[in-house]
Amino acid sequence: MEIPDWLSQTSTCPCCNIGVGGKKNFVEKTLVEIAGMMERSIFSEKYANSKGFLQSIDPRVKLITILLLIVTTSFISKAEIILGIYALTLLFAYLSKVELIFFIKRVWLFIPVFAGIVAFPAIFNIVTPGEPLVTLLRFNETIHFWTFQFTEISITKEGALGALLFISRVATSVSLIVLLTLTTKWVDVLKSLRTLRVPQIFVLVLSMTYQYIFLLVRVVQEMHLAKKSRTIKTDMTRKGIKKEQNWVASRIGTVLMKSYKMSDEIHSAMVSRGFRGEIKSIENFKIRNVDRIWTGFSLSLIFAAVWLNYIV
Amino acid sequence: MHIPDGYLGPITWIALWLVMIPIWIFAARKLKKDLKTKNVPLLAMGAAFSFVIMMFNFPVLGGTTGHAVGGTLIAIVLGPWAALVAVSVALVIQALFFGDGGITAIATNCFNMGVVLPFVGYYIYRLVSAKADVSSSRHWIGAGIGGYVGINVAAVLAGFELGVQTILYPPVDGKFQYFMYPLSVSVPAMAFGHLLIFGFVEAIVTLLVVRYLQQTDPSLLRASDKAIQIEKAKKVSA
Repeated sequence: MEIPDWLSQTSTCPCCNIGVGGKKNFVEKTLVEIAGMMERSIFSEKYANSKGFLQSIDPRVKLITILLLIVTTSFISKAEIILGIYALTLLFAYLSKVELIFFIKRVWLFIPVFAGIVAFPAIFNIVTPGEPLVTLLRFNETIHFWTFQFTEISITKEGALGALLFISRVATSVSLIVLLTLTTKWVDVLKSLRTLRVPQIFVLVLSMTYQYIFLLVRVVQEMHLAKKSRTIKTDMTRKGIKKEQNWVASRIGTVLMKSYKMSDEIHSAMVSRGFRGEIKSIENFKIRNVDRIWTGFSLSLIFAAVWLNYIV
Repeated sequence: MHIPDGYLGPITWIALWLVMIPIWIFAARKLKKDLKTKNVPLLAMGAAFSFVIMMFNFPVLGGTTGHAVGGTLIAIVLGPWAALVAVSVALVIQALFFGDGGITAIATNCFNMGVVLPFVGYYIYRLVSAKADVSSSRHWIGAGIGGYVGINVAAVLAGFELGVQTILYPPVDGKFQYFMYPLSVSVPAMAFGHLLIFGFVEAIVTLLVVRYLQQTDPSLLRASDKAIQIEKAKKVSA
């Protein structure tokens, strides 16, 4: 059934501050964050279920090779090589039927952008002295500020190259892990951790946690929705804020009590189904030729990267 | 305080993996012995809670919001060793599935937020609230101070780990290799924000939640007392 236009239009509500842009209060911020988190995890499963290149590779092989690539990226100190690996992540995202714009947005928003903000002051001669590219300001005397001293403000070649190396390393690492989790079901990622000799108990706790996170997030979402639907205007005075702080603290306490009680109930449920502290899981992964080719490819990529970095 | 990949050089993150692996093994053995089969669901719920607590936006004056890490709070309710595992599990999930914190830096982040923060916060809480009645105000005062000190110690440690990169990896051809600011910048930068803002958010959240638990379900605050009594009894009998 098609939704009529008038139903899908949003109208501003003049009487209250609910859903009307502008500054969001803490209730709305929490709801937006939760919605974002839910959406991201749903999107991940969507790509993991489509039939692309990386989806066809055994999760254990994929986990180990991608972790090795992240470790390699950490050791490499030439930006060209790291950017080469980054280009390959884009290629494999494309081959795995992940929309490139979505992939780039998912990777770059937040962490590499933040790394850029962190690295920005370091492109200037104040932090990284060196050959000036652009001089912005010149002083007649040496200026002492905090632990720095300088006579001019300019962007240095060394600083810019260092920032490029730093940001590309951060972005490539994030791309690699996003590529892994987008193309693999989380159940398989967690199961594959066993091959890295992560103790069974950790893997079990990890997979139970991942499931219960969504339950608790749902609880938190409902608390905030209930609060939002009863709020006309947030009291921004000192007294009002104090009341809201008490509300948040009481909700955190309630979630804590709920999860504590729930762990008791889950425990009883597990024991009554035969849980004795030992877990056996069915592993139905199978190594195929495509996995061997992928392993060969990634290992030669790692050797090539290390060779280009240290020997050439 | 989640350090991403690429900020720390291999020496630092490998060293912290070597520190964390024995700590994790010890914690897992200890919890299995103390809690028997109960440890799996308790740790899973603890980890899910420590993940969810960061979703709560906490209103601060002027319309801004912050969120708590909750390490001290979890340590008060579950005990510090369970908090260590719970926070570690939450951090692994954040690093793997939500891109928050790096993969190579997992051990570093777990050391700062899973070991240092809950243990410092918890023992300060124990010190202040020692032998006090469950309804005593010393519980929430201790929780507040513990939360404040715990997060600040962890933040300064993170600042140190970042700042030490310029010493471990001096610039090559004038080009910095990993995190680029020296200790004299990174430590004050981390300490400043936490001493003035995040430390207070953590302290107020921990304090208010403990006060709420005192009024509604004080048995949760006694839970760790019991664990300690069992521990003491075992030591005496041994």
